[in-house]
Amino acid sequence: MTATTVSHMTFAEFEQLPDEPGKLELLRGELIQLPPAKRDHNEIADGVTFSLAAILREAHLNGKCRTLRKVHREMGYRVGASSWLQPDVSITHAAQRADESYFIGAPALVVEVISENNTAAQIDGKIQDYLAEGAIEVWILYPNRRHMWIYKQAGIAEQHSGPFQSELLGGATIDIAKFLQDQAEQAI
Amino acid sequence: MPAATTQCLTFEEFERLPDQPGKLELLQGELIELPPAKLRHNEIAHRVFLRLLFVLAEVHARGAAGNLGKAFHEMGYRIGKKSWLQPDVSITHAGQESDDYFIGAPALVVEVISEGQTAAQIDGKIQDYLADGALEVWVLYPNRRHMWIYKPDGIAEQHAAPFQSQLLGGATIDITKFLQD
Repeated sequence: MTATTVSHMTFAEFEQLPDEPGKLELLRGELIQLPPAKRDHNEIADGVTFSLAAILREAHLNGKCRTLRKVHREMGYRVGASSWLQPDVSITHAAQRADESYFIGAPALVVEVISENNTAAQIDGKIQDYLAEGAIEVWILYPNRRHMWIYKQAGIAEQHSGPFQSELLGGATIDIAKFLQDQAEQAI
Repeated sequence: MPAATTQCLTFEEFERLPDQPGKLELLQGELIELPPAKLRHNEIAHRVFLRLLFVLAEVHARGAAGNLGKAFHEMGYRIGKKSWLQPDVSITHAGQESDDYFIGAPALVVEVISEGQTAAQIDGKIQDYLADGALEVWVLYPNRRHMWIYKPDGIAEQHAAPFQSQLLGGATIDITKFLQD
């Protein structure tokens, strides 16, 4: 099943939707419905979370990345007036705003792991809105092709398929191959 | 209707498929089926084609962009052994090799995104076009009114306003004109 956009709604209407299997997001008033994530997708997203948490912990211990706060998996963000987005993995800003229920604005770093259900237009729309609402980088990981695009402010993107140093993460080495390893292997 | 990937085929099997409404492509052996393009998609692609046709004639007339061949709408290209792709608009390399089809990627690919296309398929096409000789891949998002230009060095640039295309001899490309109703 491909991601479907079934209707337009306000954030208040979106908040009242009943629980159902899969994932719901609101992108500029459009409801995006995704089927339940498959095991591979979840394992990769867990692997990214594990890696980023370790990197951020070390960076903080070394006094780096003070503008970044915490790594989250499937955290929801109110992005603008009519979007509520839930990236696979994210890192909040140190000064990220929040209300009683949600973080407000985009996180500092967004990671989306692409599955066969994601449409090109929806992914591009999310990239634009995350960056417009304060994200510093948006990482789009394509597991089948084993590479990642990093979208940045000022309309620039760069592709990585081997290890690289992330300036945002204090110069830490990011190895995409590790994201794609089995999580249990990675912990060894 | 979203793009569907139904099965894996060889190029020979793909070539023997019967005609059917919509668009069929083969990407690394995977059959991609797209529903018939809608009016707006076709109009935008047609405007891009006409603009590139005009630009190419103009730059060739002044002796620029000699590495570029001809502009086409919906031309098919054999990319590697397992792909046959049909970009919305393309410009061939000057003297591009061909048999029943053009061989290898064109110099410039333009894809106009419609709602049915998946992110993985578009990314896969970008990778394969660039790996097989394309100099630039333009991916136009009509709803967001911008275009990403992907290049072989693993860098992409976003354009929403008029810009000068080095590939096209410095010609001005105005995305808003592609999107006019």
